[in-house]
Amino acid sequence: MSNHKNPKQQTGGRQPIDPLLAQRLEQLGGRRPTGSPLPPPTPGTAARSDGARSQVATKQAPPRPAARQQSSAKPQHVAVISTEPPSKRIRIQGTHAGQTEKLQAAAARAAAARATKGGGGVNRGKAVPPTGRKNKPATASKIASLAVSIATTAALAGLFARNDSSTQTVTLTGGTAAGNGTANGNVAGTGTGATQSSVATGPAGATPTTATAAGAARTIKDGTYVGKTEYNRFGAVQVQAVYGGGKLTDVQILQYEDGDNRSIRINQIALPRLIQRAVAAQGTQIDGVSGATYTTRSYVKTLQSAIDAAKQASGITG
Amino acid sequence: MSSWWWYLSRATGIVAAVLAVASLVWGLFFSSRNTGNKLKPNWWLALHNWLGGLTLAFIGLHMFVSFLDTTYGLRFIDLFVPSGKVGWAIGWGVVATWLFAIVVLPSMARIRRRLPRKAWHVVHLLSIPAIILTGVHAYQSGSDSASALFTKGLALLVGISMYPITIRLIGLAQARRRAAAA
Repeated sequence: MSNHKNPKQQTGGRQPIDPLLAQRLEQLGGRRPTGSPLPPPTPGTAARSDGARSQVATKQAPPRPAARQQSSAKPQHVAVISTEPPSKRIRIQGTHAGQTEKLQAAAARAAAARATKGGGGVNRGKAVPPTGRKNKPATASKIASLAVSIATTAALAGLFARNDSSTQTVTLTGGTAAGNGTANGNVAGTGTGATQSSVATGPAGATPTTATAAGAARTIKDGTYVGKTEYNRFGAVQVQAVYGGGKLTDVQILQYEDGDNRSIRINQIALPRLIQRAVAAQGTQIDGVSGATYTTRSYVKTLQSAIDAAKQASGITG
Repeated sequence: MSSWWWYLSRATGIVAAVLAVASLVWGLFFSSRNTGNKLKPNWWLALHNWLGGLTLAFIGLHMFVSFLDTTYGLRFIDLFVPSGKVGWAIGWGVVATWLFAIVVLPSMARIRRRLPRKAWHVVHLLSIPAIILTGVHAYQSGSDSASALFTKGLALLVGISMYPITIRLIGLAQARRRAAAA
């Protein structure tokens, strides 16, 4: 995800040495003829702190008399300041004890300078966590997001509970369920007087009304056919199938599980979908509605019994 | 109590979906370098990782509460194996969960550092189909999918997501154009 490369990966864990400084070190190491002119010293390199992981610094010795300079061909002094473990941290060479002490003091000052950010930006002057300790940014935001998530969950659950209790008065009226039955299909209200047998009845409880054409003996006669009542743990489901033109044109719900608000709410969503699918499939080979498993099973069974009754009434076997 | 499992199941599912979108938005802002100057990139990355982990935690909670809610009749295996038996509406949610797990868990287990950058990028892109499947799961099986509030909330989340997606796509197109010109 991140496109930001670790500085350590980019530089191999060590800051590149300034070319001028490398040249100077080479000269001090005696690789260059002693008579060749030296480049001017590079002030300010002793305390460079542009690298987060390592740092190389050097300090120039004061100019010496020519006679004495020739006798001291060995390396003068080199200080390597790093944030690596102490065994690797500082490598200091000096011609005498005083110089070494000065360089060690400079190294300590540089380390102290790194402990606080001296650069620009919003974090200037703020303490930097010690190296080796894991930095944990966005802690406050993380805590806030966790708190907001938990609070939102609790608030939503409370809201759902309140909405449920506010719909305690939901009743079935006039052939349609109060609420938001959105899809096609009718929820016909509780069929208090519905029969539990799969007899074929017309719209007014009579026999099938319209006969189909003589040539279409294998089509189902138009009419309304009531299915068996199917029971599940939440209540009873019963439907009636309406045939017109030999096709299943509608499925009407006579009973459904309405013992509690939750069942009503689920069925207001599930039943229109089931009706739509049954009409589209012209039968019971339909996908169920998730969250309404019991209703789906009962619906399929009662619809199948209604279709069987329609076939039986139409003289269709098999 | 049974009803409360249902309420909690819905609530945790909604919060998990919002967190997933928030994590996606954070990641897209970060990857498109559109993080501004006030906050450091590592702040954005840390919060992005945190939101991803929080998403997975709330998905786990959603699954657990749905399992406890006996009305759904979910078996333990149904939480992890999608099947037509319980319906694909729930199955899409299971698939989305696996996709989120594939994206998030390697980050937490630091497997990411061992993966090549391209492989990691491909794995990370799985979060987009995961969020789409989450929307399908919510629409098909959610008890609130018929409500107007659900539709509005879904539209809001899609709208919020489209802004950083557009920025990211524009950035990719510009980079490709620069590479072609060079």
